Amino acid sequence: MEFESQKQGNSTVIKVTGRMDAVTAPEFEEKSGEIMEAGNTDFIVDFGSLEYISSAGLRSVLSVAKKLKAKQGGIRFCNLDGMVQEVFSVSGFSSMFPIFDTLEDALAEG
Amino acid sequence: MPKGEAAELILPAHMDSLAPFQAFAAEQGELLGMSPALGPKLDLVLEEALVNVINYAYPDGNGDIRMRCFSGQNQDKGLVCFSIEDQGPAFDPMGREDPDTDAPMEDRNIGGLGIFFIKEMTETVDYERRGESNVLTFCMVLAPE
Repeated sequence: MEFESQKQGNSTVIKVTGRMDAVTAPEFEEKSGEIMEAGNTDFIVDFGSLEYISSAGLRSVLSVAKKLKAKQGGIRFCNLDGMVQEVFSVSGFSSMFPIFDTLEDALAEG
Repeated sequence: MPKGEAAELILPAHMDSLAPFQAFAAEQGELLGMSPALGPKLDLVLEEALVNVINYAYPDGNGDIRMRCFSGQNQDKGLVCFSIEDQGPAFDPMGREDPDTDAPMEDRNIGGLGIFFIKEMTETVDYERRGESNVLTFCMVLAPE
């Protein structure tokens, strides 16, 4: 898994590449925690290059979302595709979080 | 339902074994004619099933997991089947209630979601206590329409 983050306006865009599984998901949580500690609490997560996510990945996503909410922040997602989209849909995460087709759409919502 | 010869892999119940089990399953699935499009779903089902065993079957941390791969048939549909076997205390993962996937974020708990994925992404899934072993067997349609 690769994790890149970039500030765009008031939002932090996080691009995750590769696989979010039981082995790599804790890294997502850890790196997201560092961004929050730096005072950024408006997250846009771009999953366009994410090939795979499991329940362990969703657990990390939910944990980060709950922490952001406690800080009056938020999280939204864009570019969901393939099995990642299916996992979000089957788990109900698609109706729990704002999901956008493109990064531009997600940024426009900020 | 299962038929034919089974291929088998035995590895320690450790997170390091996850990727080799997934690679073995993909390879065997391909030999049996599984559609490559099923790959990510198969990986998901395997991860959810194996991580449960890795985390809970052997509290002292020592034990093996045996995976078998074989072909099956459900009416006119060809299946690829996997069984995952451990020697931990009896545990029927199918006995759990499905999670509430409509609950708001504050009330969401991830427990049970992995097992829910196994049920959702497979054609059949069965748990059996065989002597001192837990055996979870699941099958997927080789080439879904």
